[in-house]
Amino acid sequence: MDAPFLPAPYLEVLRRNAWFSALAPSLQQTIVRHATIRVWRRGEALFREDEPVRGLGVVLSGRVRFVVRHGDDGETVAHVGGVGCWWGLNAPRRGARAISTALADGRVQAMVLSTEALERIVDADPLTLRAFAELPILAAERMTRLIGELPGLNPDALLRARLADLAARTRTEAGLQGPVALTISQADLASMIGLSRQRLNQRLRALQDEGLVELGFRRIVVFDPIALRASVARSRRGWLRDGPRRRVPAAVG
Amino acid sequence: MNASPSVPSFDVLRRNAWFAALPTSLQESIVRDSTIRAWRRGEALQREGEPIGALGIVLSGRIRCVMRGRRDRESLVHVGGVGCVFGWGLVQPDVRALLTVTADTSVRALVLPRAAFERLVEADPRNFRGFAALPLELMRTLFRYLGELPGLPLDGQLRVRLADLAARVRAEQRVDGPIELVLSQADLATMVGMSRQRLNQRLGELQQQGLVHVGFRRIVVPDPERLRASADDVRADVAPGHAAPERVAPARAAPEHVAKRDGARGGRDRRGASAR
Repeated sequence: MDAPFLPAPYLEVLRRNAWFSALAPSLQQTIVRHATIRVWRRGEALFREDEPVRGLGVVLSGRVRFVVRHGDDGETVAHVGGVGCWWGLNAPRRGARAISTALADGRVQAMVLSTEALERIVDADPLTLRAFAELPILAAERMTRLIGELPGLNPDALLRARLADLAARTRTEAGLQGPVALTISQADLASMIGLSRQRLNQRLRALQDEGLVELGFRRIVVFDPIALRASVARSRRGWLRDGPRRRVPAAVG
Repeated sequence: MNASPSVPSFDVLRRNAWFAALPTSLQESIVRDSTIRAWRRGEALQREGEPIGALGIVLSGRIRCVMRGRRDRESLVHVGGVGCVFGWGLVQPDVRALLTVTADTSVRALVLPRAAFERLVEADPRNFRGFAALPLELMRTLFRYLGELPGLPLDGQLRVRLADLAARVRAEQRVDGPIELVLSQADLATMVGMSRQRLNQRLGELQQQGLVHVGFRRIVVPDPERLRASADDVRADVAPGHAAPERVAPARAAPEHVAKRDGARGGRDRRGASAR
């Protein structure tokens, strides 16, 4: 893709992204030409839940936390996305509102295609909407799979499934091969799973003992997302057989 | 399976929020290019892993959407009635069905074949926007559901799932007031990962709180938003430093159906289901 106005490292981010790299070169160029680069400081909101969606964006550097409100004052972390993570997937829908709040988890640089620019692109060639629709379709597929797996999952199995999904997603977003380093705090992961940090830490150490992950400061390395995913069934069986008090159900499953 | 070119009940279609929001010309084109098809109980409308051949809207009867998932463990993802749309993945080329959809009763559905869909988009590419609204809305619903689950005990998950099902029926059938879910307790138990016994207890508690009315294969939700809000009353506290109660272990909560779903014992009639 020829886009001299976009710094080379950012072009490389886009080239590595599975969705973007599969687009027609002409559409890639159109998106980059119409998009802008924006910067947020740590803690700033890229957008807020229920506000009108202002554009389709992709993280070029840094990390974004996506938070969902529930009840009067509760909130959970729905996702933490790094380089190559897209947001505003419902931007092609007129009048769409944000389904989460996105917060910069550190300094964030992102490429943003405003809804107005997106509309201009779609108006000029309505079939480009097919390409933009692929992002929410992939997301809906991913979420449907997770919902299908959830019933009966114990917290250990849920952690394994969620980590495997995050690693697989990071691979497609950042174009990685081999081990995947998830830059996510244990506090955020605990919120995503619905565990206390203490219990999460116990379970992560059990996964480390099994050789499935390696723990570091604000990072969890998943050696093989497929092997981790396969361990979900073992965890489920161990739990079914031995009940919730065993600390490492998968290790004995 | 029968095919019939007869004109569908426009009333059912107009009650569906997605269909009703389409431009009138596209509504008419869809009806013109679709057929009404019928399936007997247990027949598959669509199978997981196969190419998606059509977009359908249930006109009568009930469908089950099942995902085989990994290691051939089947999960019941959804039970849909009149107005339920299946095959939304049709909007992308070369996409295979994520779910199997089967008829849970005799089913009639309006079916738009892929070729007809492609012709509509080719004739006027702006038509694609209407079809794309389906996955966009689904993504919004699923994201909200998954965002609410962490920290919820099974009781809370049940409340959120029932509220979501009711909200979906409201969108599919434009129902005002109380919403009747035509759903067996066995199916609901599978969808939330509870034993039927526990589910029955918890539904009894919800009924006492005035949040649902339970009947034979029917659960009436008077106010979905109130039911959803009630989930936060049972939410676990997972703030740092707190020892959050873990979710009820499925082994204790649901030995019978989990064992059947996990396979080897068989026993249960596995009617497929396949829609995306």
